Amino acid sequence: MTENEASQYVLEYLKVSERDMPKGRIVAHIPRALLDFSEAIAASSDRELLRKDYSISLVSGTASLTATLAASEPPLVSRWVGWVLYCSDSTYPYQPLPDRPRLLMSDPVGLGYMTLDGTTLRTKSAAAGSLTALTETATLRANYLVSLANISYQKEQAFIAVLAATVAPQTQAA
Amino acid sequence: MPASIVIVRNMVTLGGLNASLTWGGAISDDRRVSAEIDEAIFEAEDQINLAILETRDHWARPDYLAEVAVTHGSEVSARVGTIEEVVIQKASGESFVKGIRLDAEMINRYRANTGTAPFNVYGSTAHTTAESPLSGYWDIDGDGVAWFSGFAAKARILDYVRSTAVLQCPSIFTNLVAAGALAALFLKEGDSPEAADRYQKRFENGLAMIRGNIPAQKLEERMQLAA
Repeated sequence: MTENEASQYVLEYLKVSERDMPKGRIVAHIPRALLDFSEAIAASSDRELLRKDYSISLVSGTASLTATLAASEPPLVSRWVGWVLYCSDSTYPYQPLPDRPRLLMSDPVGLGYMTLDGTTLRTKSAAAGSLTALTETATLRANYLVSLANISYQKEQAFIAVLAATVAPQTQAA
Repeated sequence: MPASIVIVRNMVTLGGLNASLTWGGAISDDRRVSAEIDEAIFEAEDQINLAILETRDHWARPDYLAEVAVTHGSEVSARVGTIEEVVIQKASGESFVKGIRLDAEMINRYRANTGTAPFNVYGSTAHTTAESPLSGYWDIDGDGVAWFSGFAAKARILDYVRSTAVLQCPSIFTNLVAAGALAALFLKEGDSPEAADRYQKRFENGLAMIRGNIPAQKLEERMQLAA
């Protein structure tokens, strides 16, 4: 979907004319609506529709996500507890722990653990329970902030409803 | 078809004033010279034209409409009354479409949006790009300066400048032009205020009909009755 299409859909959805609501005003709300929409999907039973795999480089047990978070369609940090990390030393996904101090505490070996510390992903290996053992390219599966162009056809109207709701207070004020 | 100056001149001089078309007048002569008669005709036509132009949706107004190119930030060409409409070519090569009026401040914000951060608050496209949601808007401020977003714009204006060679109002108003001219001329010509008054009333009735935007066919009937 393009910005022009989205704004046209919203005009129809709200049944307002472009004279009362210029398209630029709608477009300016698209980033916020995309975030709301992505988070709503991530929290719903449709969450698998907006999940994808990221390759991350673990070096001595940690991976910087700075570049991944700055790229297009970044993983949703607000939903990091739902992230799934696969490393080579286990067939099971790594378990999320709430913070770095908790990661430092002892846990049963055999399962891997991870936590998000700022923009750094920290791990405790499954094989040895080591905080520094993993150096490899791992797969992170996460819900992400979808871009306008990649909203699937079946979810277009759901997004338009979110965008319209974001814009609607402006309509009432006009 | 515009009214004919030749016909009106004949009506006024030959029919109304019972005078020769070619007399030149003299200092001692209290009759009008032909240039004065023409001036009276054109002044009467001015009033008819302005009545038409000032009457929104008048059936004869399109005859006066002209499209002129608009430059962003520049004054629109001289015109009568307000700008009727602005049509905008959203992107190069596209057709012109009816523009939407928007505040100049917003238009300037849209124009500043290049689509690249930090100038992408209004999306990823510039206002001249095809399919940009930022194009198609215009504003004209109180000084007649135009602002628009899109590739190019044209304004529809009422373009009327008095011609001293031909009349411009529709030929249906031939009688009315003559009445208006005679109303002015009879005050002196033959010193006949009664005739001047009669023609003045006929002229004013005609102007009122124009301002009432009476359809052309009915107007013709009423003007014949009034005459």
